[in-house]
Amino acid sequence: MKKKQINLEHTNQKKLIPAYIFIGLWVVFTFMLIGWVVFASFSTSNEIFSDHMFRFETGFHIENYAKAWKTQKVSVFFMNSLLYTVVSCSAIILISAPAAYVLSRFAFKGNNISQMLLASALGIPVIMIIMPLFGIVSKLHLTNNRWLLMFLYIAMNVPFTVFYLLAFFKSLSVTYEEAAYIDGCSPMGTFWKIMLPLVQPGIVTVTIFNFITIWNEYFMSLIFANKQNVRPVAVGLYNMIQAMRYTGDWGGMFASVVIVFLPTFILYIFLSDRIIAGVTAGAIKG
Amino acid sequence: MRRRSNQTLLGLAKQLGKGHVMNVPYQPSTFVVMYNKDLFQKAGITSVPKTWAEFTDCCAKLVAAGITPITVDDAYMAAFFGYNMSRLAGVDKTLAMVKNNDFSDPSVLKFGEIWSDFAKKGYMSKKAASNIYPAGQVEEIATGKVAMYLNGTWLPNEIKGSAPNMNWGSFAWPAMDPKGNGIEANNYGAQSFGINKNSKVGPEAFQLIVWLTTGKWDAELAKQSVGVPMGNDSEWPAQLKEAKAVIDATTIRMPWGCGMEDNPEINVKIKENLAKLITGAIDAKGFAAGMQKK
Amino acid sequence: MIIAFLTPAMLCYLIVFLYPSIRTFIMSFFKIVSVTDPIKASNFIGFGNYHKLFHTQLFLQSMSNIGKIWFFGGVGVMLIALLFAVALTSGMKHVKFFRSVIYLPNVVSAVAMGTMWINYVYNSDYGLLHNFFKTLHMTKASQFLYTGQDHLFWSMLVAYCFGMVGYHMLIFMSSIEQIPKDYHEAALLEGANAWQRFFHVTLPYLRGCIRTNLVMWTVFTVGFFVWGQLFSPVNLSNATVAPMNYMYEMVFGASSSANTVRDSGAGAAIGVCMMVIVLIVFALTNLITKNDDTQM
Repeated sequence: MKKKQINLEHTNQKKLIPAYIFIGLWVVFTFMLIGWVVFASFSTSNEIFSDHMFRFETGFHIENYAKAWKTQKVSVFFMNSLLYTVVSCSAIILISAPAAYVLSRFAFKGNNISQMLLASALGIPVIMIIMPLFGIVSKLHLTNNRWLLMFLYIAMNVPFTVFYLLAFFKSLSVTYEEAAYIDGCSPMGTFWKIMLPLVQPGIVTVTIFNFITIWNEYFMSLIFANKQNVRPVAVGLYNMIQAMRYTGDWGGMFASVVIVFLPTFILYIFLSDRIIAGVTAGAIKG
Repeated sequence: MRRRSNQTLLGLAKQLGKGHVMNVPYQPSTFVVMYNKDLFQKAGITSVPKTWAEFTDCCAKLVAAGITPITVDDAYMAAFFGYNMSRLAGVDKTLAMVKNNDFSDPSVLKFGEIWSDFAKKGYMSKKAASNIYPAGQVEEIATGKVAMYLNGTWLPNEIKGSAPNMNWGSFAWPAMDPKGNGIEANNYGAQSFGINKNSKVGPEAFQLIVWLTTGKWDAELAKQSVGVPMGNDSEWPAQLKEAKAVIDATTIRMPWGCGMEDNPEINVKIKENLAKLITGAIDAKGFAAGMQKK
Repeated sequence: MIIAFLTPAMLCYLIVFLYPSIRTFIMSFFKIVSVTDPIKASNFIGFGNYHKLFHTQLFLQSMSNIGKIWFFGGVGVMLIALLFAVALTSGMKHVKFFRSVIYLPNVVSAVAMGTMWINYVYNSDYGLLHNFFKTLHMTKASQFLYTGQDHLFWSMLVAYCFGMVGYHMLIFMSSIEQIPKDYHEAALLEGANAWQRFFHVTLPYLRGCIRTNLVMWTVFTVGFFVWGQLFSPVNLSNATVAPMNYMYEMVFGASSSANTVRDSGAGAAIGVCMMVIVLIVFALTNLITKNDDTQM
């Protein structure tokens, strides 16, 4: 058995050479793009639009970053975004996972309709719901309220998360629940203790998506977070980017851009380490 | 305030407010040909063109000196076309063209012929066909490759980061055809302050506005933002001194782009067809046909 | 238990999606200028907004644009994403590194990505493609105007799709990784080669995943907005206009024209059209990729 597997590994690598090349080129291209932005963030506007950007004739302009960080209260924006994203992502899972579970496993009267409704939510562009939402929120005097903002982030992402986790729950075997029932576990207990951990890869992936979505969220934040002290990073920095584009401070603009995307990227690198590949089928067999 | 401020602009505010000054203007601007004086000197051009023939001649001289005469980008194509039409067919006729979305007038074909010819001669930058704002000003004007740009007097301020020491000059787009208007027709406007009608501190707000838009602060704003001051006696920034003559000589005010941007469908037609005209993908007839599509 | 588990999610839906979209749906049948105007019975115009929209060249152009994005972009992105996902789960080395880099463009803000493409890749004087073709002595290709009006749409599509591949690849990968190893082992024991394993083991398992990807792609296409703005920053162009760009101008007014014609009723109508498209696609994919339970 082992011999066969080793042989397979060898032929596998050879067969994968075209994949290595294609992916390799893609990766190189991506580095060139991102590298250009990083280089541009250390340059002056003139250098960016000329032939000799990579020579750094006037040195590394770190002041671009200092300017970007100091002129607007970037630290306030950061803390806000961190709070909003962490709280929202946790709440989203707490609300969506149970819903996805019951929708995927149990046949009940409202099942299909609920699924269609939630799916339809995905197709509704933000701009479509913003107007009446603004009406309600203004009447309740809840503009610039952090909790309202988080509620909106959560509610906006619940449908997608439910939909995504649904596919995962559907692929789990019923034998888990049967075994748990035999062991005397309640239905709710079964869910929290057994089924939920089984879809951990899905939860991790969808949380990454949600984190990035909420971190980069612009429309809702712009409309409902007008005061600077509740603003998340997206609105604050994007406005700075727009301003710098018009005044021609492209170096500063790119520095802001790097500041905006760095946290999501770093987070992604760390979280992706924790994605557990597959379910240990051995738990049932054994 | 009335006596201290620019009369033309207050008059405009009154006109736009249907007889009342509803908004107080400040930071005025006008749409003219902004040009690089050093490049003109390099090409041996000694005086600013006042007629279309002189303009064409300027272009030829610039090309001979290895300089691209003029450029445009997707943000200003509509205004470029509108200005040309005002010179070829007149402001009123142009505005009617926009209102009825009817570009069957022969002046449209004439425009196509002129600029198709100019593009072939290299008078119009080839890059203009693919310039996405602000490429025209940042990549071509600020770098000293192109000499002229039909743009607003805000241009020096917008690119002062990349071109702080550019020697700016300006002149009005010359007359092109006896049927159309000449340098007496121009577009000018301003930013403005308005007071919310529900405000409980109206009079105080107005005092604040007056304080901001006249005298010392008006001059300071103009200086820092390389802009046009409101005050009649205020000093204009060096880069815009020649634009003053243009405003003073303006008797007919054209709306922005001579109305070409009022209808987004017309705007997209202009952008698409003018770009193709510049690259030579279509000729003058193709341009006219494209503009007549509904 | 079912009620307790389902209610919070449905409540969110009702408050944030159902009520506002019903109200917007109603708005689409009235003549409304400003977004915050009340709906007056006197302004009822039935299908007037829709009729006007479908006779507006710019709106029809925007529909044609997203149609092309959905089809050509969709095919390209899904094929590449699937290819990458399969390759990366077939025993390649340095998987984590490759995966991170391929997903990176999706994480970087669209404004930055768009600027990179326009100012670096597509620049006709100093850009990446220009220099690439110049070193190959292909002068005509090196002078190609990628952002000219004839090619602007495809340039934008390529740039957009580049950033989307990573996202869909991740969805494929997380599904492929769930396939129990025994299936592949069993197939191997029976002498199946890589292709056969792909078609008979991997692909059937991916049905639900393909459906997710299709629906998400449709949702993104319908919400196509930022890239259209980036490639035509100041005002709309035939090459880059998408329904959301057009709707934005209808509801909030164009930034540069002197007479801002606002029509929130039409804006609402556009929103409704977009929603209908997504519903149709969802229903169709439901029919085509039926999610049968996998038999153990």
